[in-house]
Amino acid sequence: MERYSRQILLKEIGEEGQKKIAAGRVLVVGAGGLGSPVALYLAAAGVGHIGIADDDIVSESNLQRQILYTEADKGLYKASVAASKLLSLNSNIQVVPHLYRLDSSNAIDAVAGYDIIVDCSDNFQTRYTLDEVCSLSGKIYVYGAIQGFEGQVSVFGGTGSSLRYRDLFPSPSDDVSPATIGMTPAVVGGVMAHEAIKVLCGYGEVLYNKLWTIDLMTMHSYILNL
Amino acid sequence: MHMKIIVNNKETEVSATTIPELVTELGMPEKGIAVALSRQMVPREKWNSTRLEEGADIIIVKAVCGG
Repeated sequence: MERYSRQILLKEIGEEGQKKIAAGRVLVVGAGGLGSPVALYLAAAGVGHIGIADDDIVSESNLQRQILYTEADKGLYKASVAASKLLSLNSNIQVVPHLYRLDSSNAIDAVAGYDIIVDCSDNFQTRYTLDEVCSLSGKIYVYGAIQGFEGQVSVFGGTGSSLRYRDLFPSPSDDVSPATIGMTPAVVGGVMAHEAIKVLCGYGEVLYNKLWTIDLMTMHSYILNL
Repeated sequence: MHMKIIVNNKETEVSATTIPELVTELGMPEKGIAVALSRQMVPREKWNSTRLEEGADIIIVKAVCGG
């Protein structure tokens, strides 16, 4: 376990925690700006079974922030490229690409084999669908979203967490500008991946019933009680 | 009557005494936002009945969907 030696040194993880990480089944929905760091860090940490759901292909404008991909990947399915990159990073894990768009018709089946769903999607519809499906099926829903220099993360569905994403935002915003810089999803995706690891290992204060926000312009960060 | 409150870490002078009034006064859309008073989210059904007082510490969070 030389590969994981640095995190096993953490008393919060140790050999026992590493086994829990290896037994983890995590679905990453969206393999873009957030999905890239989330999937890379989960794979590197040794999450044993990772699903990547995305129906999109790699395009030029993705390369500024979607760090899973290189120029050679343009035109290829993100989920397929992501799966092979993750396996080349860590061949001890299983990675399953799901090359379809998650919607209300297939979401229940899509999440079935997973314990934790990490929402790295780029639209409100998918987010409300994941919220609904995770609530119905009792999955942990790690929510994260970005725009510009700002990001927010919460975790829904844990024991003692009764609130849902739709309680936080009953209706979407009309402003869905895709403007951002790569460091925003880097920061937010790192936090999301770590929330998943915290849930798997059972350490720390998970963002249940809390919303964490960060503004990289001012560096103001809040933890708001839901 | 104006009073000073804090909105997203900035001292702001407003005449609003409820959250919907504040949102309107700040020129923000009511849709797609969440509002916290003293770091506690205020459910939408309590927006009207929550009184804003001098020095109130408000955080307004916009729903964003980017990934």
